[in-house]
Amino acid sequence: MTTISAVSTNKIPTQFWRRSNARISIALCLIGVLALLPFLAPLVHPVIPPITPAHVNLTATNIPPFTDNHLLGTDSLGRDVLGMALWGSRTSLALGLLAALLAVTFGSLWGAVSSLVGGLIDTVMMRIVDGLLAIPPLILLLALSALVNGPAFPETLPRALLTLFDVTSYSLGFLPFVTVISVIAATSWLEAARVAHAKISAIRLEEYVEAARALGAGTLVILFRHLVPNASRIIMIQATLLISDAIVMEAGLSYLGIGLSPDTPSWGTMLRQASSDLFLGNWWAPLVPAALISWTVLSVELLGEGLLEAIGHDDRLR
Amino acid sequence: MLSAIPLLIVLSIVSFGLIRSLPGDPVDAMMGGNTRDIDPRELQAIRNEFGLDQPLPKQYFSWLKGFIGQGELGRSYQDNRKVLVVIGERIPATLTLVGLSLVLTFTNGILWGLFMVTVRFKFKNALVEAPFLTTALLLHSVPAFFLGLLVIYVVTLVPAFHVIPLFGPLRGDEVAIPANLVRFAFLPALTLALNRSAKVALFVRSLALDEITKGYVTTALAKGLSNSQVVLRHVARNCLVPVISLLALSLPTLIGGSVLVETIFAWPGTGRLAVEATFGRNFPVMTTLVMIYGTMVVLSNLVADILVGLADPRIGQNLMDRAQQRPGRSF
Repeated sequence: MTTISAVSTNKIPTQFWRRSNARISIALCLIGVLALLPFLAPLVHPVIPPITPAHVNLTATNIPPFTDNHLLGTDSLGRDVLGMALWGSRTSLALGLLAALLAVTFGSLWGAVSSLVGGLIDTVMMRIVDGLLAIPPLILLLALSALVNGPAFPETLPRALLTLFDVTSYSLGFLPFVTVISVIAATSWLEAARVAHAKISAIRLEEYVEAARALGAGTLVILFRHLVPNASRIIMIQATLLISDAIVMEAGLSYLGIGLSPDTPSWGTMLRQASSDLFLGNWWAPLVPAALISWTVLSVELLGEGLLEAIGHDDRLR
Repeated sequence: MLSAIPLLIVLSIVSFGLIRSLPGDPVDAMMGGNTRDIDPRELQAIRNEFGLDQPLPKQYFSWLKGFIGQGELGRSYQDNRKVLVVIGERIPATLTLVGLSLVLTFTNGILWGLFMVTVRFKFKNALVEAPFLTTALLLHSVPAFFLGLLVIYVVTLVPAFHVIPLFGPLRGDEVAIPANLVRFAFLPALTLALNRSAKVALFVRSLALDEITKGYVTTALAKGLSNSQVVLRHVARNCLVPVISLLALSLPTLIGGSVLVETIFAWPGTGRLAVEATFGRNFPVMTTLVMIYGTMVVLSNLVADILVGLADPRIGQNLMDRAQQRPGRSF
């Protein structure tokens, strides 16, 4: 790569390549560090059941950073900030990845099917997306959370699902994790649907698709052999950008008290608990999760924008 | 422009559908999940009163007819007042907050963006610009509610800032004076604006950096204009149109952000009402809020469409199509 940029004297393309490449490599470094956190958790802060990462210790509250045993201090409940942040990275990153995956899979399927079927169904399907897009995302998120946060909600689910999510009469198990992911995905699949629809509609009319059809390929073959591979780049970038959105959304939901349960360590639940600690003079407990969330957002957006720039797609209006 | 009408119809179906996608029984939500202790005949009577025993499409049309005929969208589960009254008394507070933050966002964001470009253009050195760029990137990536807490923290620490009220109006007579309302709205509006204006600044910067490579900039420099004159007079003007469409796109973002910011600052607006309705599972209020917000967004997109057309008649539907693709992150 260095040889190319050194040899090339053509100013604009060089600048262009340098800019997007620099962004992508910085972003990958930042993401690399983030990706290590979940694996560091058991090494740096091992926990032996029944003690959990969110173990409360009221004899060691608000300990400042860089003291023995507590590298990043403790919060007002005496929980180790470093340990919580590391174990929380597992929840937050898994949640971001799963929600983005779910949203992008559903959204691009919706967009692709709509584009392929065409006609009135296409119009109706895309109008639904337009209508939902007009609702501010957080309002939609709140409305959907209202649906799944009632006391009667677990009773409406099939028993097999409840056992799967470890729901008992005194604990909701994994259910909040699953509902938060579903609610976030249900809010953010719309953009993916639009992008997939636009992309598939554009390449559906290309000659090679027509050639494939002339050779006798069916709709499904064309979809998975020709359309999906060609649309996959832009859809993957969309998914990348959704990861950071999902993590921020989880933090917002947890802050409002309709996200994960407080004893599940995640950056969002940490921030909710620690935000009131700020007024006890404890600035380190909220700073750590906030910094980690910002780190994720920054690196993911840098990566997304770098990739979009590299494939020549203008997406600055985000 | 006519596409707004089907959009509004879809919006009404979607927001109505939200009530009915409630797992279980709406009456159960009304009673706070205690239907087991209530006589089934009484439950049937409530169902009858709210028309919940009718088929779904019929319910939708009678809901729509109630709105068009009597301007009524149902009653709040919480206190049985008309939904529009409950929401109506919260709207001035939210409009003040969102309006003020829209103004702050764009004055701050555009000036900041142009400043970064001027600095970069003048010193031809990325390091001089770096601190401003880093600040913008940091502000852009911090969750809005954490920013709100930081703002409160800073204001409480610095005695000079103590004149700014931390929380929303506490007494009714404080709200009556418009100047007072703006004073109370300042901190929440600033919080909302800080996050978004960083985005605007980065956007303006990236647009202006593209513009600077164009021929007319060289011409203007050759004419003897200074670097900052070129940026402010020529480059800024050419960045105007995309910024207008970003303005419209910022509205859903600011409204979404206002939900969290209103909660932090105890601001008596619709955002907090939305949170209260979520907790109380007050579906008629939630539905109507979704409807109102959606209508506001559709209308603001229309206005942006018209403004963009006025600012640059060459741009037709094209830019708006692109603009609608990304509603932006909300917090």
